[in-house]
Amino acid sequence: MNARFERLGAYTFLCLFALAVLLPLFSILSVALQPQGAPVTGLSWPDDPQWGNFARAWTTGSFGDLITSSMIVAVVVVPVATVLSVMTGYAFGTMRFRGSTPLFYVMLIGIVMPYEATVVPLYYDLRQFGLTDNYLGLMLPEIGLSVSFGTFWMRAFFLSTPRALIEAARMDGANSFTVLFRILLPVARPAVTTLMVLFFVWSWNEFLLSLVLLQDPAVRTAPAGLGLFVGQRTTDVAGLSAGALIVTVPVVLVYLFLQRHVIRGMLQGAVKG
Amino acid sequence: MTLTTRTIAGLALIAATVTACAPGAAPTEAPDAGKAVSSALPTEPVTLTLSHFEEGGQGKAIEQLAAKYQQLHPNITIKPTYTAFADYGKNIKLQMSSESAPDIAQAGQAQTMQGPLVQAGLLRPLDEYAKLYGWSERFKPGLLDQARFSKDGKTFGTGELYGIALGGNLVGIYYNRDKLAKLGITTPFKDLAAFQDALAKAKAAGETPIQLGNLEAWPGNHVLSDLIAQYEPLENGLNWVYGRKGATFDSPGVQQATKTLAEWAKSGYIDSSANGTSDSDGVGKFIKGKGVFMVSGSWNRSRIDENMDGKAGFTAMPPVKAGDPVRATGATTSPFSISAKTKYPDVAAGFIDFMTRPENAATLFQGGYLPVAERDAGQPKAGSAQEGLVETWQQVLADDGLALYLDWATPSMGDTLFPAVQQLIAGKTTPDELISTVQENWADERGNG
Amino acid sequence: MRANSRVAYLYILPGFLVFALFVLVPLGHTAWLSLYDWDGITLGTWTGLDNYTEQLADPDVRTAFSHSMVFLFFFAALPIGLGLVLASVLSRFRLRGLGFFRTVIFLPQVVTAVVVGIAWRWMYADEGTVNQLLSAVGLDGLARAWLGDFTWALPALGLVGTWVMSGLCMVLFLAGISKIDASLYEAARVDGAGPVREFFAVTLPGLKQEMAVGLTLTTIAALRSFDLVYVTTGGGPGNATNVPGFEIYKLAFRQGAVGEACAVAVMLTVLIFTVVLLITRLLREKL
Repeated sequence: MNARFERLGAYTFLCLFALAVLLPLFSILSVALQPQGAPVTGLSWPDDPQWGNFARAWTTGSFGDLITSSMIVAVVVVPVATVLSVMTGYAFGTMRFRGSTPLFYVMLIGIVMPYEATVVPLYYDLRQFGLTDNYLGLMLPEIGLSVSFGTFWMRAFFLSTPRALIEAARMDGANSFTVLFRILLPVARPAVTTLMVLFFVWSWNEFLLSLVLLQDPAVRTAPAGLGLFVGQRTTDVAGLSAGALIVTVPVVLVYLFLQRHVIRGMLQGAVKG
Repeated sequence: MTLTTRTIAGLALIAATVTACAPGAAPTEAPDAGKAVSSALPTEPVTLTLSHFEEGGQGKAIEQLAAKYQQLHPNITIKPTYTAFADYGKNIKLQMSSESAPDIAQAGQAQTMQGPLVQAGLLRPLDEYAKLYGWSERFKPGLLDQARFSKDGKTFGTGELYGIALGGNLVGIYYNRDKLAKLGITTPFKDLAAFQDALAKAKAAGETPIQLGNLEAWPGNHVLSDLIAQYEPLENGLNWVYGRKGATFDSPGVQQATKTLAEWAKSGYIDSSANGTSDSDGVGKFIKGKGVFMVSGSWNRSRIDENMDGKAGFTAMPPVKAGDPVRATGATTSPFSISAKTKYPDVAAGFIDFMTRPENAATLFQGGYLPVAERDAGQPKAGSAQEGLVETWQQVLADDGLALYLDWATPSMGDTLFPAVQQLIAGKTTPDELISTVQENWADERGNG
Repeated sequence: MRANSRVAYLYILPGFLVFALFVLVPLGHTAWLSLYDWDGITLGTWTGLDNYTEQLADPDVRTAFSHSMVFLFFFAALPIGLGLVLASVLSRFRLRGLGFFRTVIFLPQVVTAVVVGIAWRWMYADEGTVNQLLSAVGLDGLARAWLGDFTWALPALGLVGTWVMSGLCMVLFLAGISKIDASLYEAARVDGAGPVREFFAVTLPGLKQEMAVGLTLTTIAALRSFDLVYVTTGGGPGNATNVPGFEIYKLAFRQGAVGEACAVAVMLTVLIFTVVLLITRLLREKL
């Protein structure tokens, strides 16, 4: 009896929380369906939903090109940053070596620094090497920043994996590479997929870097398209919301796709743990 | 070498390196400076890039003109690229200093964007072209002054010409015709007192007298500056915006205007949610009938006309003394400048001239520009807000009555003044405090307070 | 030891190289620029530490830093608490639909800051959803234009941070709980422990590492926040929601004061770094 109440309470709590999460997102959808220029208030489904707003937003924001750009950047940044992060995290999390602590703290700087200011010197640095105005100039800083986070993330994961697992494999004469691939990575699946989701989300949503480093509007990334709905002193609210949803959908899809793997990986982890 | 000498040598080296490589670059003369300007166009194929932040109809007008120009001159291609205003300012300086700088660019206005660009020698002075094409006959002197800078980029409002604008913008009073009829209010107002009477009447009838969406903080500043334009002599205001010696914000006119705004807020004349409502939502509320008046700019006109269909009008903020000339906050749109790095300054100037020629005024007007060069650019729809707006615009332009924007005064003026206006409306600061904060910023930045 | 060191360095080298070239070098460049009076384009002039003293003396900058302390509560403390509750509820009851709840609650982490900003601007508007809900439960008296209220705008924005960060904490803790030895839970249940005691006796101690990670990430998010303020209030009303990240943005991009912006950026980096260092030290019993 008691247990059933608890269950009910748990469900109620979760449902309320999920609702609180979804409500603001739902309100964007309702606004995206308003006629252009119409006043917007509260949460109400429009009488005459303008699904055409999405088509309009797609062309106005030239999202076709922008999303392609975002894809190109993400497809390079995510795997490269993930591989590099797993490697650094593995070293920091499982090996003892001279200078490991200071080195780790240095790498932390990448996640603590606000780059609203650093983007200006970064631009000038990259310009010296002719790296502005092309994708590589955006990918490399994104990878650098991601690796900083990834190192922190993967190190924490490797630290919490039972040391006996690694020791046993080493006893059997496995080299560090084999330990990483055969023993640790299968257990690390959830951590790695979550990391990939986050990398993808950040790369996809990155705006300031892409704006400053890619001067040519034709190669900018998806969030830049939202600027097309915001003028100097006016905003096309319906268009902006529709555009915002267009930008968001691919990320959510990637997330959902990776999510299945996260769960599968997690069950594996649970069995092993 | 001992350790100390080595250290000293090292430090000296570091100091030398550091001082030798201060960031940025000293201005350089354009490679072909001094070469005679010409209206003759080259015969080889030329492609010019044009960066701008003109959204919607105005941006389309530019594209149309670029296409039309190419029809007339098949070897010349003008490639306009749009970047949203909020983002444009973030990278225009970097962009103009790079090798891939656009040939023609909107360089913003005043100190924030245009000043540093002039100072860095990245914009080409246009006075020779102005002579060549007769721009000073085409535009009122006050309009051209808004794009003038001294060569060192420090003095604004006089000096060399660095850009030509396509249109203008203006702040005034939008009103809801139905509500005015119900309340028995007639426009135009003969003086400010008449407008204040109308506000009191609206309040007494349970209406929201003035709709304002001030979440972004700049919209409220336009109400203040439109009041200042009435109370403060135009010349004083312009001197202050242009940063001329001896000008001050702490003057009787500005004090009166600021007090008036504070009183309006205190009397409940301004929507109590103003600070929490975005400009766009504020316009939305006005369209829905919340608010008898809305003090706002020409940029919101098309949305209002499209959604209120003849039920909205526009009139000027009335002068303090009946019969005085019409004054309003307003300016040209951001002028187009020519990059000092362009290989084809003649072509760039030719296109800028083309855009502002009388035969293209209609295209600009249809795009939503308030005409700066040509009086008879087109006819607004009768009974629309546009009708009142164009009429007001012509009145103001007739004797150079534009008061410009207060945040032009210094690069950080917007970030100082706008939050202070939010505080003033909420009763969190007094008019005197606002004025002294603002003047302090001005004195700091202009260095001659 | 030596050989092991070499192997470790080899693993670190590629990642560190990219990081050093594209993060560290520009950051050093930033620190160097902070010693100049520079507008980002024309020739700068050396000012030594003037930018620092000037910014530290600026009351607006100091208020901005104090606002990030408020954000610490909303971005870090609350989400960690909620994340713990959510994770333990989800794992204890082995509820059906775990995947669904997980996905939904993590969602805010996935959407762009712009989207978050637009959504919440409407939620908080005077005729927005929050006020609709309040009046539905008879609390009309509390309704206001939240983001324009000098008292409530900051906590209102803070709650958006809670909304965004809770999902991340939950996912983190769920993964951690799944690694806790199941026999520990069984033992606790045999002892007749209720959910609360089970939580404190088994779950919490087992999540030390995840707590450290969660606390670090949320703290950084709180102190570094910029996007949210940028897309909602722009620091207003007045300066009521201004934060250091936004101050940097204003200086660098709106006022053309790149030198000053760099100085604030360096100070903020040092502050966050110190806080993060403290967190790792405090939670590092095991290392």
